[in-house]
Amino acid sequence: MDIKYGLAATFNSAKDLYDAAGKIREEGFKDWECYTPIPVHGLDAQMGLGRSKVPCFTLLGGVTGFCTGMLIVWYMNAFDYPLIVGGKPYFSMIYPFPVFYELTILFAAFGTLFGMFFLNRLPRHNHPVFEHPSFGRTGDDKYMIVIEIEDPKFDDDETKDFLKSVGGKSITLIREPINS
Amino acid sequence: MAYLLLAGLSTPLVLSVHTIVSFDFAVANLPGWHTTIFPPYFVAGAIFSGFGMVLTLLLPLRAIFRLHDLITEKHINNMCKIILATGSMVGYAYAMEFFIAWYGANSYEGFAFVNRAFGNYWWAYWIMISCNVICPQLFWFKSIIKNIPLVWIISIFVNIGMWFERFVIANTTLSRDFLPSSWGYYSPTVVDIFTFFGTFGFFSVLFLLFIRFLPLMPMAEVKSVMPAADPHGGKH
Repeated sequence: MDIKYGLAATFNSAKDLYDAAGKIREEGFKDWECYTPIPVHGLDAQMGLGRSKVPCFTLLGGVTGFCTGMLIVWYMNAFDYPLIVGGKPYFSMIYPFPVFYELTILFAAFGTLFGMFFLNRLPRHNHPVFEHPSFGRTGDDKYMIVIEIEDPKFDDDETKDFLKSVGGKSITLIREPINS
Repeated sequence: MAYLLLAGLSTPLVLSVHTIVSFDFAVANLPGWHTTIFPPYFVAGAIFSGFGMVLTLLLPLRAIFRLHDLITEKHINNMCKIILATGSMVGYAYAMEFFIAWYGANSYEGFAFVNRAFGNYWWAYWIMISCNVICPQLFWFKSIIKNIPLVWIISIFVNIGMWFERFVIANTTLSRDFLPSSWGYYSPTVVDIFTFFGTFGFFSVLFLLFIRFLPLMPMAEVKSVMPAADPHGGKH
Protein backbone atom coordinates (compact mmCIF):
# COMPACT_ATOMS: atom_id res chain seq x y z
CA MET A 1 0.00 0.00 0.00
CA ASP A 2 1.54 3.31 -1.03
CA ILE A 3 0.70 6.84 0.02
CA LYS A 4 0.29 9.23 -2.82
CA TYR A 5 2.53 12.27 -2.55
CA GLY A 6 1.86 14.38 -5.63
CA LEU A 7 1.99 14.82 -9.36
CA ALA A 8 5.31 15.58 -11.02
CA ALA A 9 5.81 17.20 -14.42
CA THR A 10 9.15 17.76 -16.11
CA PHE A 11 10.29 20.66 -18.26
CA ASN A 12 13.28 21.02 -20.51
CA SER A 13 14.38 24.57 -19.86
CA ALA A 14 14.35 27.25 -17.22
CA LYS A 15 12.09 29.40 -19.36
CA ASP A 16 9.46 26.65 -19.65
CA LEU A 17 9.58 26.09 -15.91
CA TYR A 18 9.38 29.81 -15.18
CA ASP A 19 6.33 30.31 -17.39
CA ALA A 20 4.61 27.22 -16.01
CA ALA A 21 5.32 28.34 -12.45
CA GLY A 22 3.60 31.63 -13.14
CA LYS A 23 0.49 29.89 -14.44
CA ILE A 24 0.41 27.49 -11.49
CA ARG A 25 0.62 30.36 -9.04
CA GLU A 26 -2.17 32.20 -10.87
CA GLU A 27 -4.32 29.09 -10.75
CA GLY A 28 -4.15 29.24 -6.97
CA PHE A 29 -2.08 26.23 -5.98
CA LYS A 30 -0.28 26.58 -2.66
CA ASP A 31 1.52 23.29 -1.92
CA TRP A 32 3.88 22.80 -4.77
CA GLU A 33 7.60 22.82 -5.39
CA CYS A 34 10.06 23.36 -8.23
CA TYR A 35 13.16 21.19 -8.57
CA THR A 36 15.92 22.61 -10.73
CA PRO A 37 19.56 21.74 -11.40
CA ILE A 38 20.56 25.39 -11.02
CA PRO A 39 19.16 28.39 -9.18
CA VAL A 40 16.68 30.16 -11.51
CA HIS A 41 16.56 33.90 -11.06
CA GLY A 42 13.20 35.25 -10.10
CA LEU A 43 11.63 31.86 -9.54
CA ASP A 44 10.69 32.46 -5.91
CA ALA A 45 8.84 35.62 -6.82
CA GLN A 46 7.18 33.79 -9.70
CA MET A 47 6.11 31.04 -7.29
CA GLY A 48 4.58 33.60 -5.01
CA LEU A 49 7.02 33.01 -2.18
CA GLY A 50 7.74 36.06 -0.08
CA ARG A 51 11.14 37.38 0.89
CA SER A 52 13.53 34.96 2.47
CA LYS A 53 13.69 34.82 6.26
CA VAL A 54 17.42 34.11 6.32
CA PRO A 55 18.45 37.75 6.93
CA CYS A 56 16.55 37.62 10.23
CA PHE A 57 18.85 34.86 11.36
CA THR A 58 21.85 36.81 10.15
CA LEU A 59 20.76 39.80 12.20
CA LEU A 60 20.10 37.63 15.23
CA GLY A 61 23.53 36.05 14.89
CA GLY A 62 25.23 39.38 14.44
CA VAL A 63 23.58 40.93 17.48
CA THR A 64 24.40 37.82 19.53
CA GLY A 65 28.02 38.04 18.44
CA PHE A 66 28.23 41.70 19.34
CA CYS A 67 26.72 41.17 22.78
CA THR A 68 28.86 38.08 23.43
CA GLY A 69 32.01 39.97 22.54
CA MET A 70 31.16 42.91 24.74
CA LEU A 71 30.08 40.62 27.56
CA ILE A 72 33.29 38.61 27.48
CA VAL A 73 35.45 41.71 27.55
CA TRP A 74 33.36 43.49 30.20
CA TYR A 75 33.26 40.41 32.41
CA MET A 76 36.99 39.86 32.29
CA ASN A 77 38.14 43.46 32.50
CA ALA A 78 35.57 45.24 34.62
CA PHE A 79 34.11 42.53 36.79
CA ASP A 80 36.20 39.43 37.34
CA TYR A 81 39.75 40.77 37.45
CA PRO A 82 39.92 44.53 36.97
CA LEU A 83 43.47 45.75 36.49
CA ILE A 84 44.45 49.39 36.21
CA VAL A 85 46.42 49.77 32.97
CA GLY A 86 47.74 53.22 32.19
CA GLY A 87 44.86 54.95 33.94
CA LYS A 88 42.47 53.76 31.25
CA PRO A 89 38.87 52.89 32.07
CA TYR A 90 38.08 49.27 32.94
CA PHE A 91 35.59 49.04 30.13
CA SER A 92 34.83 51.21 27.14
CA MET A 93 33.00 50.60 23.90
CA ILE A 94 36.09 51.22 21.83
CA TYR A 95 38.94 49.00 22.83
CA PRO A 96 37.05 45.70 22.44
CA PHE A 97 36.61 46.52 18.75
CA PRO A 98 38.57 43.55 17.32
CA VAL A 99 36.77 41.15 19.64
CA PHE A 100 33.22 42.30 19.05
CA TYR A 101 33.72 42.95 15.35
CA GLU A 102 35.06 39.49 14.60
CA LEU A 103 32.45 37.78 16.76
CA THR A 104 29.69 39.78 15.06
CA ILE A 105 30.83 38.66 11.64
CA LEU A 106 31.36 35.07 12.79
CA PHE A 107 28.02 34.66 14.50
CA ALA A 108 26.25 36.43 11.63
CA ALA A 109 27.82 33.91 9.24
CA PHE A 110 26.73 31.05 11.51
CA GLY A 111 23.25 32.54 11.67
CA THR A 112 23.14 32.70 7.88
CA LEU A 113 24.34 29.14 7.39
CA PHE A 114 22.35 27.41 10.11
CA GLY A 115 19.35 29.65 9.55
CA MET A 116 19.33 28.62 5.91
CA PHE A 117 19.51 24.95 6.94
CA PHE A 118 16.78 25.37 9.51
CA LEU A 119 14.40 27.19 7.16
CA ASN A 120 14.93 24.52 4.53
CA ARG A 121 14.34 21.83 7.15
CA LEU A 122 17.73 20.37 6.37
CA PRO A 123 19.51 17.98 6.80
CA ARG A 124 16.85 15.76 5.36
CA HIS A 125 18.14 12.50 4.03
CA ASN A 126 14.97 11.27 2.42
CA HIS A 127 12.08 12.89 0.65
CA PRO A 128 9.07 11.38 -1.14
CA VAL A 129 10.13 13.02 -4.38
CA PHE A 130 13.14 10.67 -4.52
CA GLU A 131 10.68 7.90 -5.49
CA HIS A 132 10.23 9.53 -8.86
CA PRO A 133 11.99 7.31 -11.42
CA SER A 134 14.00 10.05 -13.06
CA PHE A 135 14.37 12.53 -10.22
CA GLY A 136 18.12 12.32 -10.73
CA ARG A 137 17.71 14.28 -13.96
CA THR A 138 16.75 17.37 -11.94
CA GLY A 139 20.35 17.44 -10.80
CA ASP A 140 21.48 17.36 -14.39
CA ASP A 141 19.43 19.00 -17.11
CA LYS A 142 15.70 18.67 -16.35
CA TYR A 143 13.41 20.97 -14.41
CA MET A 144 10.50 19.57 -12.42
CA ILE A 145 7.35 20.84 -10.73
CA VAL A 146 5.59 18.73 -8.14
CA ILE A 147 2.10 19.62 -6.95
CA GLU A 148 1.37 17.90 -3.67
CA ILE A 149 -1.81 15.96 -2.88
CA GLU A 150 -2.21 18.10 0.25
CA ASP A 151 -3.01 21.13 -1.85
CA PRO A 152 -6.73 22.05 -1.52
CA LYS A 153 -7.05 22.52 -5.29
CA PHE A 154 -5.55 19.17 -6.11
CA ASP A 155 -7.67 16.81 -8.14
CA ASP A 156 -6.37 13.60 -9.69
CA ASP A 157 -7.49 14.31 -13.23
CA GLU A 158 -7.89 18.07 -13.40
CA THR A 159 -4.43 18.75 -12.01
CA LYS A 160 -2.94 16.29 -14.49
CA ASP A 161 -4.64 18.06 -17.40
CA PHE A 162 -3.65 21.43 -16.04
CA LEU A 163 -0.01 20.42 -15.81
CA LYS A 164 -0.15 19.17 -19.35
CA SER A 165 -1.64 22.45 -20.48
CA VAL A 166 1.18 24.52 -18.96
CA GLY A 167 3.74 22.46 -20.82
CA GLY A 168 4.65 19.68 -18.42
CA LYS A 169 5.97 16.48 -19.87
CA SER A 170 5.90 12.92 -18.53
CA ILE A 171 3.44 13.65 -15.77
CA THR A 172 3.88 11.04 -13.05
CA LEU A 173 2.14 10.29 -9.79
CA ILE A 174 4.71 10.00 -7.00
CA ARG A 175 3.94 7.40 -4.41
CA GLU A 176 5.66 7.11 -1.08
CA PRO A 177 6.15 3.44 -0.27
CA ILE A 178 5.25 2.33 3.25
CA ASN A 179 7.92 0.00 4.55
CA SER A 180 6.67 -3.21 6.05
CA MET B 1 20.00 34.58 -0.28
CA ALA B 2 22.36 32.87 2.16
CA TYR B 3 25.00 33.00 -0.55
CA LEU B 4 24.47 36.71 -1.00
CA LEU B 5 24.58 37.38 2.74
CA LEU B 6 27.80 35.43 3.23
CA ALA B 7 29.38 37.30 0.32
CA GLY B 8 28.21 40.58 1.83
CA LEU B 9 29.70 39.65 5.18
CA SER B 10 32.99 38.42 3.76
CA THR B 11 33.79 41.44 1.65
CA PRO B 12 34.18 43.93 4.52
CA LEU B 13 35.78 41.09 6.43
CA VAL B 14 38.62 40.91 3.91
CA LEU B 15 39.32 44.58 4.42
CA SER B 16 38.89 44.57 8.18
CA VAL B 17 40.82 41.42 9.01
CA HIS B 18 44.10 42.59 7.60
CA THR B 19 43.53 46.08 8.93
CA ILE B 20 43.23 44.67 12.45
CA VAL B 21 46.26 42.44 11.86
CA SER B 22 48.25 45.47 10.74
CA PHE B 23 47.29 47.15 14.00
CA ASP B 24 49.28 44.44 15.79
CA PHE B 25 52.30 46.22 14.39
CA ALA B 26 51.06 49.76 13.95
CA VAL B 27 50.04 50.28 17.58
CA ALA B 28 53.59 49.60 18.73
CA ASN B 29 55.96 52.54 19.05
CA LEU B 30 58.83 50.88 17.25
CA PRO B 31 60.36 52.66 14.25
CA GLY B 32 59.34 50.91 11.08
CA TRP B 33 56.07 49.74 12.70
CA HIS B 34 54.43 52.86 14.03
CA THR B 35 53.03 54.16 10.76
CA THR B 36 49.49 54.81 9.58
CA ILE B 37 50.11 53.38 6.15
CA PHE B 38 49.97 49.86 7.57
CA PRO B 39 46.24 49.14 7.20
CA PRO B 40 45.97 49.89 3.45
CA TYR B 41 49.45 48.46 2.90
CA PHE B 42 48.54 45.18 4.57
CA VAL B 43 45.19 44.92 2.83
CA ALA B 44 46.75 45.51 -0.60
CA GLY B 45 49.52 43.08 0.28
CA ALA B 46 46.99 40.49 1.38
CA ILE B 47 45.05 40.70 -1.87
CA PHE B 48 48.31 40.67 -3.83
CA SER B 49 49.62 37.62 -2.01
CA GLY B 50 46.19 35.99 -2.07
CA PHE B 51 45.95 36.14 -5.82
CA GLY B 52 49.53 34.93 -6.06
CA MET B 53 48.65 31.92 -3.93
CA VAL B 54 45.48 31.28 -5.92
CA LEU B 55 47.46 31.15 -9.14
CA THR B 56 50.13 28.96 -7.58
CA LEU B 57 47.51 26.39 -6.63
CA LEU B 58 45.13 26.89 -9.53
CA LEU B 59 47.45 26.50 -12.51
CA PRO B 60 48.71 23.02 -11.63
CA LEU B 61 45.16 22.00 -10.70
CA ARG B 62 43.91 23.26 -14.04
CA ALA B 63 46.58 21.31 -15.87
CA ILE B 64 46.10 18.09 -13.90
CA PHE B 65 42.30 18.03 -13.97
CA ARG B 66 42.11 19.51 -17.48
CA LEU B 67 39.86 22.40 -16.53
CA HIS B 68 41.07 24.50 -19.44
CA ASP B 69 37.58 25.36 -20.64
CA LEU B 70 36.26 26.21 -17.20
CA ILE B 71 39.21 28.27 -16.04
CA THR B 72 39.98 30.09 -19.22
CA GLU B 73 42.88 32.24 -20.26
CA LYS B 74 40.65 35.24 -19.67
CA HIS B 75 40.31 34.33 -16.00
CA ILE B 76 44.05 33.94 -15.61
CA ASN B 77 44.60 37.15 -17.53
CA ASN B 78 42.31 39.03 -15.15
CA MET B 79 43.98 37.56 -12.10
CA CYS B 80 47.36 38.66 -13.42
CA LYS B 81 46.01 42.16 -13.91
CA ILE B 82 44.86 42.27 -10.30
CA ILE B 83 48.26 41.05 -9.18
CA LEU B 84 49.81 43.84 -11.24
CA ALA B 85 47.49 46.43 -9.74
CA THR B 86 47.91 45.40 -6.11
CA GLY B 87 51.63 44.82 -6.62
CA SER B 88 51.92 48.38 -7.82
CA MET B 89 50.01 49.55 -4.76
CA VAL B 90 52.38 47.64 -2.52
CA GLY B 91 55.37 49.13 -4.36
CA TYR B 92 53.88 52.59 -3.93
CA ALA B 93 53.41 51.91 -0.22
CA TYR B 94 57.09 50.95 0.10
CA ALA B 95 58.10 54.19 -1.56
CA MET B 96 55.76 56.23 0.63
CA GLU B 97 57.04 54.64 3.83
CA PHE B 98 60.54 55.57 2.84
CA PHE B 99 59.53 59.07 1.84
CA ILE B 100 57.68 59.73 5.08
CA ALA B 101 60.58 58.38 7.09
CA TRP B 102 62.81 60.93 5.39
CA TYR B 103 60.27 63.80 5.31
CA GLY B 104 59.28 63.31 8.95
CA ALA B 105 62.89 63.89 10.01
CA ASN B 106 62.57 61.30 12.74
CA SER B 107 66.09 59.96 12.96
CA TYR B 108 65.00 56.60 14.38
CA GLU B 109 62.48 56.07 11.61
CA GLY B 110 65.00 57.17 9.00
CA PHE B 111 67.58 54.79 10.37
CA ALA B 112 65.07 51.94 10.44
CA PHE B 113 64.52 52.25 6.71
CA VAL B 114 68.16 52.68 5.74
CA ASN B 115 68.91 49.68 7.93
CA ARG B 116 66.33 47.64 6.05
CA ALA B 117 68.07 48.26 2.73
CA PHE B 118 71.72 48.18 3.82
CA GLY B 119 71.87 46.62 7.28
CA ASN B 120 72.11 43.01 8.37
CA TYR B 121 68.98 41.95 6.53
CA TRP B 122 69.74 43.68 3.23
CA TRP B 123 69.44 40.34 1.42
CA ALA B 124 65.87 39.83 2.62
CA TYR B 125 64.95 43.40 1.72
CA TRP B 126 66.23 43.15 -1.84
CA ILE B 127 64.57 39.78 -2.41
CA MET B 128 61.36 41.45 -1.24
CA ILE B 129 61.78 44.41 -3.60
CA SER B 130 62.61 42.31 -6.63
CA CYS B 131 59.77 39.85 -6.03
CA ASN B 132 57.06 42.30 -4.98
CA VAL B 133 57.81 45.38 -7.04
CA ILE B 134 59.72 44.24 -10.09
CA CYS B 135 58.22 40.80 -10.78
CA PRO B 136 54.55 41.80 -11.08
CA GLN B 137 55.51 44.58 -13.51
CA LEU B 138 56.31 41.80 -15.97
CA PHE B 139 52.54 41.37 -16.32
CA TRP B 140 52.39 44.51 -18.43
CA PHE B 141 53.70 42.40 -21.31
CA LYS B 142 51.17 40.33 -23.20
CA SER B 143 53.74 37.77 -24.23
CA ILE B 144 54.40 37.02 -20.57
CA ILE B 145 50.75 36.88 -19.53
CA LYS B 146 50.01 34.42 -22.31
CA ASN B 147 52.76 32.08 -21.19
CA ILE B 148 51.04 30.04 -18.47
CA PRO B 149 54.08 28.25 -17.00
CA LEU B 150 55.81 31.62 -16.71
CA VAL B 151 52.75 33.07 -14.97
CA TRP B 152 52.96 30.21 -12.50
CA ILE B 153 56.63 30.88 -11.81
CA ILE B 154 55.92 34.57 -11.30
CA SER B 155 53.10 33.73 -8.88
CA ILE B 156 55.56 31.67 -6.84
CA PHE B 157 57.89 34.66 -6.76
CA VAL B 158 54.98 36.78 -5.55
CA ASN B 159 54.46 34.36 -2.67
CA ILE B 160 58.17 34.40 -1.86
CA GLY B 161 58.21 38.18 -2.02
CA MET B 162 55.27 38.57 0.34
CA TRP B 163 56.81 36.12 2.79
CA PHE B 164 59.98 38.19 2.80
CA GLU B 165 57.99 41.37 3.22
CA ARG B 166 56.54 40.06 6.46
CA PHE B 167 59.97 38.78 7.48
CA VAL B 168 61.52 42.18 6.79
CA ILE B 169 58.79 44.07 8.65
CA ALA B 170 59.04 41.89 11.73
CA ASN B 171 62.75 41.21 11.94
CA THR B 172 64.48 44.41 10.88
CA THR B 173 62.54 46.49 13.38
CA LEU B 174 63.02 44.00 16.20
CA SER B 175 66.72 43.59 15.59
CA ARG B 176 67.29 47.33 15.99
CA ASP B 177 64.64 48.70 18.33
CA PHE B 178 64.92 51.48 20.93
CA LEU B 179 66.81 49.50 23.53
CA PRO B 180 70.37 48.58 22.45
CA SER B 181 70.36 45.60 24.80
CA SER B 182 67.60 44.12 22.62
CA TRP B 183 69.65 44.34 19.47
CA GLY B 184 70.54 41.08 17.82
CA TYR B 185 70.46 39.03 14.68
CA TYR B 186 67.78 36.41 14.41
CA SER B 187 68.67 33.07 12.87
CA PRO B 188 66.06 30.36 12.59
CA THR B 189 66.66 27.21 14.54
CA VAL B 190 66.02 23.77 13.15
CA VAL B 191 62.68 23.77 14.98
CA ASP B 192 61.69 27.02 13.26
CA ILE B 193 62.57 25.65 9.86
CA PHE B 194 60.68 22.42 10.35
CA THR B 195 57.68 24.25 11.76
CA PHE B 196 57.70 26.36 8.63
CA PHE B 197 57.65 23.35 6.36
CA GLY B 198 55.08 21.82 8.64
CA THR B 199 52.74 24.70 7.90
CA PHE B 200 53.11 23.97 4.19
CA GLY B 201 52.23 20.37 4.94
CA PHE B 202 49.23 21.34 7.05
CA PHE B 203 47.86 23.54 4.33
CA SER B 204 48.50 20.93 1.66
CA VAL B 205 46.69 18.25 3.64
CA LEU B 206 43.60 20.37 4.02
CA PHE B 207 43.75 21.48 0.40
CA LEU B 208 44.09 17.92 -0.90
CA LEU B 209 41.27 16.73 1.34
CA PHE B 210 39.13 19.54 0.00
CA ILE B 211 39.72 18.65 -3.63
CA ARG B 212 39.14 15.01 -2.84
CA PHE B 213 35.82 15.33 -1.06
CA LEU B 214 34.25 18.57 -2.14
CA PRO B 215 33.29 19.87 -5.59
CA LEU B 216 36.32 21.34 -7.29
CA MET B 217 34.16 23.22 -9.75
CA PRO B 218 30.49 23.45 -8.74
CA MET B 219 28.62 22.40 -11.86
CA ALA B 220 25.46 24.16 -10.75
CA GLU B 221 27.29 27.46 -10.88
CA VAL B 222 28.70 26.78 -14.33
CA LYS B 223 25.29 25.74 -15.62
CA SER B 224 23.62 28.79 -14.18
CA VAL B 225 25.55 31.10 -16.51
CA MET B 226 24.70 29.13 -19.63
CA PRO B 227 21.97 30.52 -21.91
CA ALA B 228 19.68 27.54 -21.28
CA ALA B 229 19.39 28.62 -17.69
CA ASP B 230 17.94 32.03 -18.44
CA PRO B 231 14.25 32.09 -17.51
CA HIS B 232 13.63 35.14 -19.66
CA GLY B 233 15.72 34.28 -22.67
CA GLY B 234 15.22 32.05 -25.67
CA LYS B 235 15.01 28.34 -25.20
CA HIS B 236 17.54 26.07 -26.82
